[in-house]
Amino acid sequence: MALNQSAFNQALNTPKQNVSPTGFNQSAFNTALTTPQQNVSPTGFNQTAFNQAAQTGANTVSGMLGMTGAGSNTGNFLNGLLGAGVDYYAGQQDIDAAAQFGQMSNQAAQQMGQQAVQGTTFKPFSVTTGAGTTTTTPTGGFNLGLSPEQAAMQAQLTQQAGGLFGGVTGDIDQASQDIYSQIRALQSPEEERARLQMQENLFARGRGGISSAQYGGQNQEQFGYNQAQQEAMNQAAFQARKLALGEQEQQLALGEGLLSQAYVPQQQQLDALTVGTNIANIAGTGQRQGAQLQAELGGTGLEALLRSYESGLAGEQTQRNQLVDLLLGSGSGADAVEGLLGGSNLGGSLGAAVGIGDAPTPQWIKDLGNDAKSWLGL
Amino acid sequence: MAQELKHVTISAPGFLGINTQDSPIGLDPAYASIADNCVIDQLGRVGARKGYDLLTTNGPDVLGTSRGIEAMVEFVSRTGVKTVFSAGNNKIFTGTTTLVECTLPAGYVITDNDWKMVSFNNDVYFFQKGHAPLESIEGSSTLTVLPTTGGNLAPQGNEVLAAYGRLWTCDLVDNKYTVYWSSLLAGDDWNGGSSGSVDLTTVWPNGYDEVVALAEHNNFLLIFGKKNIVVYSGAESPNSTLSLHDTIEGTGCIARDSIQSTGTDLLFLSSRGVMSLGRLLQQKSLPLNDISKNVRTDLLSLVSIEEQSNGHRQAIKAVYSPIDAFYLITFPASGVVYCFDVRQPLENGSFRVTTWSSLKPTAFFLFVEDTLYMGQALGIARYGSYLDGGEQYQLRYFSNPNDFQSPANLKFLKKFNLTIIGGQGTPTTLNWGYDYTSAFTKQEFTFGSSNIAEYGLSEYNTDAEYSASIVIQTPKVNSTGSGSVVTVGIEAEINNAAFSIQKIDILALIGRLI
Repeated sequence: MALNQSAFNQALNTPKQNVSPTGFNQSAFNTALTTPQQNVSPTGFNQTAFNQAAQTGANTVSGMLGMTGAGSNTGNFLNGLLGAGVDYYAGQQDIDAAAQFGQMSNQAAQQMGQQAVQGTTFKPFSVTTGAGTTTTTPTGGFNLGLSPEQAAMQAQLTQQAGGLFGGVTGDIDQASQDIYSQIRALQSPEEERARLQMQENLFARGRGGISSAQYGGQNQEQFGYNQAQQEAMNQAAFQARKLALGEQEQQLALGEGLLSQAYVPQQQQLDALTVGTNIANIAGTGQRQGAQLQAELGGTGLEALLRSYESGLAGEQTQRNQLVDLLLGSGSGADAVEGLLGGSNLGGSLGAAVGIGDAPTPQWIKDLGNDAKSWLGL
Repeated sequence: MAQELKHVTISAPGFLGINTQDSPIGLDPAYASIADNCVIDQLGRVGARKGYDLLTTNGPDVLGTSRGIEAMVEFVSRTGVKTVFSAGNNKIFTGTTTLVECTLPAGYVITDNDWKMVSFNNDVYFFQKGHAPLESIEGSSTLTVLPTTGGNLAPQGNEVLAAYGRLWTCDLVDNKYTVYWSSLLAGDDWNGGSSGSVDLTTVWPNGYDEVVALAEHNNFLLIFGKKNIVVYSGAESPNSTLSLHDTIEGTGCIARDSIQSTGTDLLFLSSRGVMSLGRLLQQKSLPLNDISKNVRTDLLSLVSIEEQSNGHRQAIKAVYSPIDAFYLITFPASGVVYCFDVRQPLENGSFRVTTWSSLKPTAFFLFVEDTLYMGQALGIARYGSYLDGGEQYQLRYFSNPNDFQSPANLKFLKKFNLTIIGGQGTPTTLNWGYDYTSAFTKQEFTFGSSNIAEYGLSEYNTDAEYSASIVIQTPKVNSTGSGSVVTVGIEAEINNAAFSIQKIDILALIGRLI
């Protein structure tokens, strides 16, 4: 059975009419397979033209030679010459048919691949939650679209986190100095009261003006006071350093917390996208499976078609050989059989054997097409 | 009809010392108006002071025409070696008989002689205002400038006190409000160790004052300003325990070298006179007493003269002699020494006081053997004998005007019966006058010589002498004239013999009412 190329192409290219989930035009495909050929052999061999060519050739040769119903020598020579021309022609036809078949197969495979691609192409979808709407893109990306409130909240938290991070990376010495100043400001009033009381006691006891080398140019009480003050200052400095470092750690933790909270809506969106993706996969899975099945079936059909055409080619080869033998005779010597062109039977029974001319299509060719259709599952 | 003579006896005349402050009328006749070159002897009589024996033989050579020895100290080292340091003519000497000039540090120039010299920790320290303090190590005649080590100089104080294991100083040229103390047991360390200072500008009770002198008394550190005294306790550890104990307002010390301790009292010259700061047992405040109230005006006039003559009071020197039981304070510009008998205060709290003239000491120091030494124009002299450098001196006693308990009657003096102890070979003049006159009627007499007046001399194991142990003179002098009040005086040229006025008996005729 010959492939209706135009119908086949239409089946591949015609969208959305009796389309399967994979987009394959099944009816067009079936039409292509079942539409009867018109003057086309299964390999595309134009039988009518062939017959015409054969008749026209014989007549031409005979005319050229002036040998209508010539003697046997002349007949043998002509028979041999015609045989060689027919053999060449038949071989050339086989080559052309094989090339045309390869091209058609390639086109069919590409069309099936394109249909598979179209069938498995990602369909963008969107997920909407209270935090916003996430939209996927055909290229596989997605856009986390936060709601204005959430975006503002994220911006605020991010800004606050940035401020805290700025404190973390700030000047620790300056931070320590600031805390130290605050501690000293707290301590200073009591120190001043103690100093005044000490001064009162000193001057009441006449010791206010005492200066001693033993105590670095001051009296014992002042030395003790200053020593205590210096110790307090040292402790304050040490404490300020620890507090500054602690504050930095706290700022870091708070910043991290704020930053983490800032991205919670996005995370929620991502989680929702994951859920949406799973749901979308349900539909996508069927689509992909349909496309895969279509591609597989298409491949199988194409393979069966290839094999059917291979069989057809082989049969046509055999037929041409037989036809040549029939027309020109076969064998030699005692086994030699006279062909149709070699006798009065030229063109008598040939047409009926292969359906040339007005002869109906032989049943064996019809059986061949039916077998290919069943192989493709059509 | 002859009237009965009234017998008036002045027993122990001048026994109560000089009193020029109270009204002479009705004043106890035991007070004297003049008691010059007198002391109150051990028997409570007015007697002649001792003179001095000049020890120095090279005085004119080393002292020149200066005022003489103006400061001195006797240093006894730990090994018992005694060294006398003295200062005069802008020099520092050692020795008494022969004054040997000390070796001063190179380039050191002395411009005055108001040295205050103290012995401390086996060394002698010399302090004077405007001069770097000097040190004699273990009595060496080679002096060094303080500090002997280190770069910081010691305060150039005018006063120095060795007490509580350290030196104390004050009264600098440009700082009269700070008292400095050295490190413990290190008189040459004034900037390290436990040295220190106290600023008194916030301590003075009456605002600003100037530190003049320092003293240790009754375990208190006394800081004398000119008009105030601050009493500190805890001076044994001044850096930690020095604390104001008391303040005395209105009384200070106006002469650094007038401060002397009698053991019970601290005597010093203030702008109110000579004061006594007693010891306290239970009272909080140290008892302060004016011991010169009977001669206050005269004494303060001498202080004024001293200040006018010298521009300062540094020349006023004082000494306490426990053997003689007197406190001497000299006013060189006036040539007068006030002698306060410290045995027993009078009812009014003052001490019996006499004056010394013609002695003119410029410095005092009581040596270790309790012998009083004094500076003289020609060197160092020792208090003793009854001649001033071999010369006679005059004892003068005059009573206050006496009305014999009959102020409204005329008195006609008829006769004096004197009782004089000692006085052999002493030319004596009896003076009497009426009605506050200073134009006295005089009667001279001379006691006969005798060698028994050997009071106080040790002659054990010497040639035997067979005479009375005490020469008693009882001259009798007839007198003339009349008046309502009578002043009696005795002038005696002390000639190497003791002279004490035991009693003056006056026979007088009480006349009509005026």
